[in-house]
Amino acid sequence: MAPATVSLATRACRGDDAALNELLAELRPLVVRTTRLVVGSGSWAAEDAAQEALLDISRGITGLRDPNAVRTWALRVAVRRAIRISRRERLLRLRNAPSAELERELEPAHGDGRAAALKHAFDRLSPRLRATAVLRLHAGLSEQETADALGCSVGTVKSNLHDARRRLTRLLSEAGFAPTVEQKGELR
Amino acid sequence: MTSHEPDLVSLDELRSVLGAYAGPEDPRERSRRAGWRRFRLLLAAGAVVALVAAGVGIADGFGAFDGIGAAHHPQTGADVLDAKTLAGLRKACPSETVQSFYMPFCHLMSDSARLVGEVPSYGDVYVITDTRGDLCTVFEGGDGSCGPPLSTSHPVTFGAFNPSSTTGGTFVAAGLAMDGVVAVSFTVGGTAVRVPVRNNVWVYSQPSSHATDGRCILAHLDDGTTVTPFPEVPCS
Repeated sequence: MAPATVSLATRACRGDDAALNELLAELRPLVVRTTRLVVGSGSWAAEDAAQEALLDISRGITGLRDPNAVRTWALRVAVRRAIRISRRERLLRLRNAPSAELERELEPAHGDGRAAALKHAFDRLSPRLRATAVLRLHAGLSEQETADALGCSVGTVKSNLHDARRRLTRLLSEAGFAPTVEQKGELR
Repeated sequence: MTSHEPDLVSLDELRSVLGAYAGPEDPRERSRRAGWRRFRLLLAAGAVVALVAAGVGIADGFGAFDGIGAAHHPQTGADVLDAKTLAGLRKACPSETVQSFYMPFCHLMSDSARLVGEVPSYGDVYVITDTRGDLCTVFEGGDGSCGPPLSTSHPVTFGAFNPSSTTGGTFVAAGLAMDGVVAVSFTVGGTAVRVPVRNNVWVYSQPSSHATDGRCILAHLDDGTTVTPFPEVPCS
């Protein structure tokens, strides 16, 4: 992590509001996109979750013990907020419906059918599986960091990711897309 | 870790799709229509700063109150936000200076506040604008919502709240309406309701309800026509 980020986190932990503003500006893209992917992009609940996660971070920064770990900590805060909101929205069901307006806004400019089907399938996974995949693959956390963020073991992270891929493969197949994809090498 | 699972979606493909669908780096803001719960949170960060920095008559200058006859009068003592509401705004703000993203309630112009009505069990309803010229509805105690000013295509606001939706609480929906809107109709749990507008404010409550939102929202105008203010909200 950039030394400047650690410096900002250190100052923000001490109650420096200017540093907190800069730190939030730096963390915001990752937090917002992570939260959005876990809740399910295209729903207003996802946008709410993103804002609430940023507020959680701004409120909790003074309690951060290790400024070197601010990025992982912010992701943990964001994912926990996202999972909580995902579960609540599932329970309520009402506001979880994707917004056509938002979906249009968030849709990639050059998305193909298979990518759209995969994203649709991803949104059907449980919040926990989505969070595991997002932290590992999108945010780039290590298995141990992901486990820490989710409050589970490294073994659970591995099995969650495997389970997610297995389900995605089945859902893609049901959507008419070839289930077999070439194997890939190292997972960074 | 090396993957030897040719039958599974590849990690690279999944990573690529997540990146493509992650969207912009800022959270999207709901316009006009949102649960009050959310806006309790959005009150955070900077409301105090904004309240202190307010300018006289700014609302008229920005046109935030255009079409809201009940708000077009000089501010009187009755229009000033009461202490309970101010305390609610202040309490919700984690920091006075956090401006990482725009939160309308953190930039309110207190001198623009106008009392426009009352919602049973929630108390007074104020309209107020922020430094960006948004129209905000503030309920006594600090709940509320913000969005662009009303217009002929979006002549009403819609806020919904249910403190105990899982066990069955009192569902309340309320909002503002432009001059010329005589009623607002929508469905709650599949049941259609029509709510009259009084002094630019409409209020609906339903006890022992599991509802959290309304659908199929329509604004009924005094010439007999209707407007669909939130076409993005499906009817089912």
